Amino acid sequence: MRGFTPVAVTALAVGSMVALTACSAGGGEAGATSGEATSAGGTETSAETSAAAASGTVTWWGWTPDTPVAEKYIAAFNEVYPDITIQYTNYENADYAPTMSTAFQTGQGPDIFDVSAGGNVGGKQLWGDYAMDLTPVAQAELGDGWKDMFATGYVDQLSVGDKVVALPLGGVAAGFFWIDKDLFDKYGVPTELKTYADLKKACDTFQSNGVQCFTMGTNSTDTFSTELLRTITNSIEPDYYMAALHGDRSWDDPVMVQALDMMRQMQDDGIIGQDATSIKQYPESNNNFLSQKAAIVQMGTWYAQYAAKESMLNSMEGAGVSNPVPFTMMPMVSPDFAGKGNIPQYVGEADYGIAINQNTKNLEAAKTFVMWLTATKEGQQDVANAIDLVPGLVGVEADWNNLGLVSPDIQIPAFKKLFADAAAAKESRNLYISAETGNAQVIAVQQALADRSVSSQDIAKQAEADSVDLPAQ
Amino acid sequence: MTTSTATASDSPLKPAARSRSGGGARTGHRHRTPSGLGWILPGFVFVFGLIYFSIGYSGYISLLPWDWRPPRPASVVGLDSYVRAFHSALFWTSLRHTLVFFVAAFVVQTTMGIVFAAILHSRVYASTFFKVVIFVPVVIAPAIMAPVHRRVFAVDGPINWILQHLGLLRVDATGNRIWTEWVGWLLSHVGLGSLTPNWIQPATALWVIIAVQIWSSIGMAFILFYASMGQIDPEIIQAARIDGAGNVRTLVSVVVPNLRPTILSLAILNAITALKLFDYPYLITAGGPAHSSEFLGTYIYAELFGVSQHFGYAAALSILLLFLALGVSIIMSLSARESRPGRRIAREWRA
Repeated sequence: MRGFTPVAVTALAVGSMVALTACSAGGGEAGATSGEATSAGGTETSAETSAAAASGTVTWWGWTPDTPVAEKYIAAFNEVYPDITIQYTNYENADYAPTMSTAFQTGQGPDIFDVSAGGNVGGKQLWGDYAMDLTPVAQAELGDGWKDMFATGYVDQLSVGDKVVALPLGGVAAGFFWIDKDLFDKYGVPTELKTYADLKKACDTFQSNGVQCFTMGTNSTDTFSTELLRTITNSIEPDYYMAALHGDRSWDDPVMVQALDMMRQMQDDGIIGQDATSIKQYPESNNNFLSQKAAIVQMGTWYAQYAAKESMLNSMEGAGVSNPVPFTMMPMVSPDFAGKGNIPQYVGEADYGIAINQNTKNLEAAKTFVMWLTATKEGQQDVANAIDLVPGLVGVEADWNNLGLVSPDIQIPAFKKLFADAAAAKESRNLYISAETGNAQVIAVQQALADRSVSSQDIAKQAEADSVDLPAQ
Repeated sequence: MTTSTATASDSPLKPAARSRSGGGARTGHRHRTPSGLGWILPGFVFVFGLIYFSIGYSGYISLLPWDWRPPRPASVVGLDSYVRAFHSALFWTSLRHTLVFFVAAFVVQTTMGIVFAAILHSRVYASTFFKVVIFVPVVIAPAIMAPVHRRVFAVDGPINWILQHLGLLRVDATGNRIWTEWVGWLLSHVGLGSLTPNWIQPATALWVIIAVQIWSSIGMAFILFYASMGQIDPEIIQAARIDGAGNVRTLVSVVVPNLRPTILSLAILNAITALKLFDYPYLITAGGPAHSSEFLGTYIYAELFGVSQHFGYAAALSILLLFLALGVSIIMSLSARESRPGRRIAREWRA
């Protein structure tokens, strides 16, 4: 057998490199061209594809929902469209951006993916460039006035300019707390904590019984820890935070300084755990609550999904509980931290939507799934029943009596009120927060809790210096 | 020195004259070159294409706007990202952390590595077992150990448990861990009054990372020194013993000077590790709290993936890191060359 000659091997290598370079250099242009053609094609042929005779495999990446919830959506979808396979991959919040970024650079992005209205995980400003405009698709499927079919503002919140980046799956709200009612009842703690003194007293009781009162994790770049900061500022002066987001107030305002001081006070009083700077909200704080080591956690409406027996048992096992017994978790309105009579209101908006990769090769199947999940009553009913989101489609409500809640008698009315209040939230949660501003506040919270050698004034000044206002939307 | 009168040709340090063989040899050389070059070329093209193209492309991206990210249109704006880096307090903080890390890790690893190697070169019972114990952390992936270390340094973790049982800290009525009175008094008198028994805090997070890194890599230092000690001529040790040197004197005055090349190698390895450090800081502290354990690696990652995807700025930081690594390598290589016994003797001879 004749061996390869050096010249042949060299030619092969050089040829490969040229080919690789050509792919690499031309990929971007080709992709862009392809994307433009796809968008244009979508406009022209959307009527033809409204019936979307689709089959094939669609890859879906997201940081939410949890995989079991997504599997329920997909199973329900496959009852209607058995020829379309949806492959869902769930990423931790911190892993979503690196994975997406790398995948899109190499042309290996998913067919469809999560996009949020703001924030530093899946914000539309980060991923909107890779998404196709869904306006013609929605218009063809739903007709004129299609935006009105969704909750007020949801579509616009997931748009960049005139481009609809994603169709909303549902909404979210935060600014309140979740409590383990079983622990509250066990130790005789009232489930309504209206003042800071009430909260302190409750925490003293839990502490004396060996239970952590409030679990919170700040050791991450995600912005969960800033929810408490915002809740406190809203109790000091309700309009301050939004005014600061719009550039009308500064982040080193006395309100911010007072809020940082209050967080320090909460730590000194044993309300915020000493471990707050060494753990993350996910998984540690989440696990602390679900394993009943802690009685209170601050999460948003998405946390309601764990109130159902089945998902709670799965989550408790995931949190390390060997023989889990479901407990009753309830939402609790925030105490009036500052004692000024201001009860912090819910802040909310469209949580996330599903975008379609402008370079997808499975466009019809992708469109079919996205439209079914976001814009049909059947799909949205599944979303509602997962109680992970406030349904995006108007007129859809969870089938409360058949969700398998642990204590339906008390949870159903509480959850109905929670979701109604969430849908009516007037203040946005992440929409106007740039990634830099969110990160600056994460650092401020970390420093306030972990470094007493720096004053709250100086921390707030640094937050102001590091923040970047988003352009007007 | 008496050698001052010796001629250069007499010096054993003078390299032997190159053989200038006849045309046959040159012909042979000419004959082999194209063949060898041909076999090298594929690898060369591959390496050049992948690595150097990537470096070059990073250099190009670093000249784009600092907040540029694909697929947005790109336009070269110059050195703005570099200027931004030099004006960034966080960039200098990261460098300072890198320097502190290098010095601390190098000093401790060298000292402990030599001590362990010296002990295990003597007749220690179950020495093989101890060698394995010391070396095992080297082969365990950081991703596996990071959660363990997070637990070890947790507020309610084993370290604080030990300190509590030693009477150094206690749990107060709110559940917080605080120093006992005399420890608090002591810390306040050495300027550490704000230090609490929470190890992941700005004052201590960097030292946690350093401690973990030392723990995980001290086995490598030990192996290097153990092997290097095995190369020392036993007669030198015997001579020192005959001259009356004890264990410590022999170690300090005879063994350690012979380990100089290994120490230099370890310094280079540590410098490279410090510059590209990423895994433990990212996995244990995420560079925090409040950037207190930020290194260049985590800083670049945060700029590229973490929050805002500033590709231009991250590329500029990467290029700066490249030049830093090159500079450190060159300086250390020159130091190593200067420190070679032959060069030292030659310098002394010339003097």
